[in-house]
Amino acid sequence: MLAEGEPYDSPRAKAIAGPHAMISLHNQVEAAEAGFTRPPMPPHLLPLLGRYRELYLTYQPPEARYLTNHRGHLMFLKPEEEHLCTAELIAATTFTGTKPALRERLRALRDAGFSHFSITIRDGHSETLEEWVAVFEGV
Amino acid sequence: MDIGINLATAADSWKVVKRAEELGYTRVWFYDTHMLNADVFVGMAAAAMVTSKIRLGTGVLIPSNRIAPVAANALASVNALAPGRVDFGISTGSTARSTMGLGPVKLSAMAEYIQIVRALLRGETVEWECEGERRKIRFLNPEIGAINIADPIPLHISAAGPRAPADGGVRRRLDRADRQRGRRLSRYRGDEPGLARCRAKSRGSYLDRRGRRLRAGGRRAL
Repeated sequence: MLAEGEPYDSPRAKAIAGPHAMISLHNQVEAAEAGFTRPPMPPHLLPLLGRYRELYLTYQPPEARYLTNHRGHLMFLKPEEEHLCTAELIAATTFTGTKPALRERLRALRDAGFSHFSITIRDGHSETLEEWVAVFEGV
Repeated sequence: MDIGINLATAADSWKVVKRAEELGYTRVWFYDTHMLNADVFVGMAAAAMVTSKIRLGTGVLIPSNRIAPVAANALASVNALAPGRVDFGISTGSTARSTMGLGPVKLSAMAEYIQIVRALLRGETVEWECEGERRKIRFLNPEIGAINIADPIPLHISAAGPRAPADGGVRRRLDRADRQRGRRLSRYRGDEPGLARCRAKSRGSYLDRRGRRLRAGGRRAL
């Protein structure tokens, strides 16, 4: 949850939402290398995907790039990928926003028929438990 | 709408789960990603010991990580510690397999795995293929209380993949298996024990900064 005026790529937002955002790049690049098809990313994120692919191709050994690609998956950002975790990527691929914005999106999900919503608690950020209770209370 | 949490399983995940229960969260889903995190059933068992209401689910279990009888046993073991609070979430596998350089298992393999696990949890004798042969297996003495197969363990199928069970394929296969056993198809509908559900996940949708979906990719729960 963002504070009013807090950017999507604030250090706190990147620490909490960043790992989730980055897996879209991890998975897209890996799937493409393996010849699998995945739903394409929106055009405005394609340059970012290209930059991650360049990084991915530096991972060694070439036959096991997955050993580096998935390190920290859904837990932390690898130092070399921090600069690729942009505000645009976090905004497009994660459930991040201010409290009123999150409530609005949860109401939309509820009205669409969703009966359960779960959030990822990032290791070391258990304070998000309390933050999200406040979000849910207003839905 | 009830609320839950997802955790990258750690041996001490119970600390977060305990606090989540105190705050009113109703479910916790533990990742089954053995090359990145702690064992999913160790995390669930520890959480079971310090909680009394919150539901504990595999989020999600991957068929190839352990043979079906072992998965059934692990679910029933946690169910002995947290009677009626255990959920069996499953998918064809993403992270747990890609961290070993593998793609997902086939939907048909997952469906057969589900059939075996659920039959064992119902106390049935089931045919299971191992080392090239089909053998009959069942829990031999569930009555001694070491495990709990009396309280139902609902099934949840992740519907995030491109060939997700939302297309009905897995459900049809489960229904067909039940027909062959002479069971009513309604076992998979409603909220009674044996319900097969599909978890809807929003991965696959891209949003603009105002939260508007740029491309439809999420699926609604079945």
